[in-house]
Amino acid sequence: MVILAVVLLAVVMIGFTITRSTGTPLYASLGVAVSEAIIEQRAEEMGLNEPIVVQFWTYVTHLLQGDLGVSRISRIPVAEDIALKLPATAEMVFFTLAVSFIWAIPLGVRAGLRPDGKLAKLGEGMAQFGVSVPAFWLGLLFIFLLYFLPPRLPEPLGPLPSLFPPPLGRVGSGVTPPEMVTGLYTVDALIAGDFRLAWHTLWHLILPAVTLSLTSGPPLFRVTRSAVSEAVSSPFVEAAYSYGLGRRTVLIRDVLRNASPPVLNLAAMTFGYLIGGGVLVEVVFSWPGIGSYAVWGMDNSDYDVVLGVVLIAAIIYVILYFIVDLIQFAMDPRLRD
Amino acid sequence: MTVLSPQRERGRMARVFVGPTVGMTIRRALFFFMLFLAVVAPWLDDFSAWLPFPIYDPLRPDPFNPVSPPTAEHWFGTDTLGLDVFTRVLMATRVDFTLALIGVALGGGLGCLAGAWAAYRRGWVDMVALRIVEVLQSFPVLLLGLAMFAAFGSLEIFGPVDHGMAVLVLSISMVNFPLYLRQVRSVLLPLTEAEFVQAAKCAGLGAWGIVWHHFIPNARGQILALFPLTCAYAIQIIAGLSFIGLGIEPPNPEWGSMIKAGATLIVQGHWWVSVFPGAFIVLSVYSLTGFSARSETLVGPGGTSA
Amino acid sequence: MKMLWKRVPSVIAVVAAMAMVAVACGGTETVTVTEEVVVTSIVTEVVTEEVVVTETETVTEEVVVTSIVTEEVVVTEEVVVTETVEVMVDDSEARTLRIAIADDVEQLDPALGSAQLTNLVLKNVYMQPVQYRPGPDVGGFSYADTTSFEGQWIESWDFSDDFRTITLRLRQGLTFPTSGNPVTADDAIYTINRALATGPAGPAWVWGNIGVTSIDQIERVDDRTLIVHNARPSTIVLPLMRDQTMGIMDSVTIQANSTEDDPWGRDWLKQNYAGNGRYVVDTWERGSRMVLKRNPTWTGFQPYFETVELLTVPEAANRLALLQSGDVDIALDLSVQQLATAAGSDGVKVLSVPDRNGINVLLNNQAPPFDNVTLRKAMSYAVDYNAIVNGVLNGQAVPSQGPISVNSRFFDLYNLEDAWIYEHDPDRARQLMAEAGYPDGFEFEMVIRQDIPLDEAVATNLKAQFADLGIDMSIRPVTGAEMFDHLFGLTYGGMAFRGGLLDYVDDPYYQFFLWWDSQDAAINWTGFADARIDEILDETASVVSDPGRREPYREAVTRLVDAAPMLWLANANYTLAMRDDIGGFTLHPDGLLWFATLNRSG
Repeated sequence: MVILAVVLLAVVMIGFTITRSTGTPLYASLGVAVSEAIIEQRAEEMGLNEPIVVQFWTYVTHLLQGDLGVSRISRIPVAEDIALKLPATAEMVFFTLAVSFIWAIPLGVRAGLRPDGKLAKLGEGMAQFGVSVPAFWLGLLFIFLLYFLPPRLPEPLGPLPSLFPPPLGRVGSGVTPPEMVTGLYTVDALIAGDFRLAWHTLWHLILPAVTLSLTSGPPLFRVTRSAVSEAVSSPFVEAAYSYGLGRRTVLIRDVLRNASPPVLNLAAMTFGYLIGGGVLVEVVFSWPGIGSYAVWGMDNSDYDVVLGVVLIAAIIYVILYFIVDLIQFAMDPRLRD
Repeated sequence: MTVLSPQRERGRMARVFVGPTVGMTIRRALFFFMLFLAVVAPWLDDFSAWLPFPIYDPLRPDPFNPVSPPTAEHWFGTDTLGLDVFTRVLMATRVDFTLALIGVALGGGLGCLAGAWAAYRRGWVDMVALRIVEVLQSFPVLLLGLAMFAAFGSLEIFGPVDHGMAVLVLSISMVNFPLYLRQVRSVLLPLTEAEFVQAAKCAGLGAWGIVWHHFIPNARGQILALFPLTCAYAIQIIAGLSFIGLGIEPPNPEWGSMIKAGATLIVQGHWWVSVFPGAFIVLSVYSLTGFSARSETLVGPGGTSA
Repeated sequence: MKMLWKRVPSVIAVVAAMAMVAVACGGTETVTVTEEVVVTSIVTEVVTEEVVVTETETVTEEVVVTSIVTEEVVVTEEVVVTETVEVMVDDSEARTLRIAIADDVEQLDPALGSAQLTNLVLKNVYMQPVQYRPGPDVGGFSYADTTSFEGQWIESWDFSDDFRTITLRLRQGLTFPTSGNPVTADDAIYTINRALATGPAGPAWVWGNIGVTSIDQIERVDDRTLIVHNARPSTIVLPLMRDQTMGIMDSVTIQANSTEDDPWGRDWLKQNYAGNGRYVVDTWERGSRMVLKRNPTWTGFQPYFETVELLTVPEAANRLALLQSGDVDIALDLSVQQLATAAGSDGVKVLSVPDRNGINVLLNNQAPPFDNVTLRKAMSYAVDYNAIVNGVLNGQAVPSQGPISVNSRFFDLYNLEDAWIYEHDPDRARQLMAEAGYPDGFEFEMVIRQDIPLDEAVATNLKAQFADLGIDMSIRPVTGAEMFDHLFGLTYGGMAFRGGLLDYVDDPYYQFFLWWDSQDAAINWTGFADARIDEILDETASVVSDPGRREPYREAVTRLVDAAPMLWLANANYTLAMRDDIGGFTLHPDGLLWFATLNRSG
């Protein structure tokens, strides 16, 4: 627990130093007709004349109260904006993981069981592909091929209707999002009983999620594969067979159960990573999540925003890491020593 | 990954060019071809008359010929400024490879040393090293780059060097440092009590000498296996950061910023500005991964993609 | 396991079937007026507090009325009918104007320094003292007549002979729509007082230039007359009074939301609205859209559009896509290349009309190397103006002929073409470079805004042009905020470029005291100083008739051109991409869209 706190503190410290080591732009918020005196006054107000340590202390104390500062541009508290946008990112990440679970894990299992099989090769191929391709480029390619091109295909092939919506965020223009319950539009729409809307939001989710899944799924595939192949060749599996248990039972009972810890571990880590790491895909698809928010802050020299997002992403990752560690610790007696 | 036996290590240098399968050999050949491109890039324009393909000045815009599709004169078309995409994609090879190489060498080098030191010393040194690694690795790579740019992007401390380049190298180093540290440490940890280490201590070799002469060479195989993968990862990161706009000074060509320039065009149907640079990224990463027999998940949950 | 894999094809088939169903039902995202389902939903949302009356009055131009009326009957069940102000035909879809903007409006307090988009909204939702009248139609649009003003919250004005006293008669019968409070002289006094107290930016600056620095200069004669004493006589008093920050505010509401720590309601006003412009702020979903409604209390000329929606769409390509699909009617801030694409799209037209937008490069006159006037002149000859005008700007501009735009009323009036001496002449540039002491070239840095295609295009082209002369220019993109810091603090090393520079008022006096006065210039981003020009400005400040200004300004412009503090590249057109059924556009000198005159035809 102490270690967790130390790590978090270090995270905050690094993040803070990084974003404060350059000046904060003052003129932009003051507009035309300013003088030296006004600038000084503003700097005073913003506490920029204090030594860096004092500034840091103020920041940390605010942080512990949940105050991440205020956006220089919109004057909205950063914490508020992040709370608003985090569900958007979370929804995308959940769906990404869901898609990864659909392709990476079954292929990984198969590849672990039959390393020379066709599906193993397919999995490795997809993994190789996903690793080589930049996610944002893939997203752009998808948009071009699946949204832009179909209506413009020449006669014999098309024109086809554009299967996917324009890459403009979570819902189409003119469509109201559902009542906010969890912040995840698909879930909220289902809760409200509006299936059409749920389908609509789902459709907007597909391209970003698939893009992200293809590029972040390969490690899941590979870990599943190696975990399964290791489990399969372990002695207790042989023992189970010798008991006369059927192949299927062995598979589920021993192989999968023993192979799942590293996979679930990685899945949780991937989730934590994607919260911050999905920023490029968010930008490409105009997805209003915390990644886009950080980029927006960056473009406007709004350092509190950038720092806020970086911190939240890092904190989520660290917390997930520790939770996963704890769960593993609890589940696996071998780790307690 | 296990430490290779001495016999395999000796033969290893010769086996850089030929991989275990035909596919991998082809990939390695592709890499060396791209390396060649990277080296000759600056002279392409000077020798353009002798070349079978049309090369232009990569920095001279042609405002009267913007966004034109691929033709015989412009193999990959032109972008919004009228710059030839083909030339710039080829030139960008040099930029991306160099930045990736330097960043990985810097961060990786320091990481190896730190990892070996931590493995040797154990105790609280090891603990601190691990914590540092955890802290550094808890930042999502791209956001770390973002924060670095927010901080250092406008400072003048790097002198005549292009700011963007310096910060990119810095970001890559910060990502690779914990990676190498962890790998090297995990390989060397079991060796601390090994006999040859005891022997060296008896011979009077200081801690640093032991680390440098005995420890690190044992991790050599591991490091060499890691190097191409992290370079590939670095290329992805550079492209990713440049895509958000945090990259080298314009109008110098770089794959990520070229994709970015083409991003707004691709939804209008002008695909060539984004597609070709991306294809080259795919080729570089694909060719670099041809050096590793089995690329396990060495680089964390994000894989090697940005 | 084998059993599971066998099922895969059927799973795929099911998913494919679902996909086809989805496409059939969902289809594309376009929202058109004729699609029944969508109209209903939008009407329900839009028409919340709106006055909708079941009785429909047929207006002669409308043909489509009958079919839509039937829809309306269904809708009125869900609408709250408050009071009948005016009988309107509810063809709300056609009467909704959707505009795609690049960034959310920052905040709504006129007193704070503000961005282009904020100015746009303030101009339309607050009521300024006066506004320009539209000029005659010149092919589907009109220029604002900068010599003709109509009163808004001021009904009429009178200048004394020496122009130092202004009598303002307030318009009676105005109401603040959100609170129902009447607009009174108290509100006028409060607005001016607040402006002065919350300065120095915003309306305080404007009032300062009119000569009002203290509320004591405003005398309240009676409930409908105010007198401004000791005003500064100048030609720009009325143009200044139509500045978007001069809107009258509801003092009762603001005071109710003020606290001891915040006596002027600044916190409240950032996110809230207390005005009575032609449009009022109805809803504001931060970061996604702002909805404005026609002001129901305004009894003058009625704007065509009942609702104006401003949609925040950060990606320019997406704004273009929305325009092409008809999901928005106007898309702001498109690049030159995107405008070309838009112009070629069905159902879209691009308005490109001569304007005073100056594509100018700023030079730091106070730091090497450009503290050397000969070198600055050399650069002015080094620029390939044709490449910029016809290449980068795609012909949507004319070459510049100095600090006063060729499209300014005063350019011809004062024959300012005589002052312009530069053209693309590399030999002359080399000669001047040698004279300045840099015969073999030199290096410097240009600062531009990041992610703006125009900035990058201009910079890249200039870099190549200068490279021909042995000059090594490096380009550094910075954020908008950092750019301001560099400009105001004069910390950029060589050159800076931030797109077009458009002075809100077309008057040389305005430009000179904005840019070139070495003591008081509001935005002296070049660090320029010339004693003789300061003298001329002092002498002509209070001259309000043209004959007395002609010669002094001719001299001032000539001196300015000789000193080459900026590179004046081109005068770009005003461009606006919109659906081709939108009309009634009036171009104001400040380049901010005025929603009230827009309409949709057929």
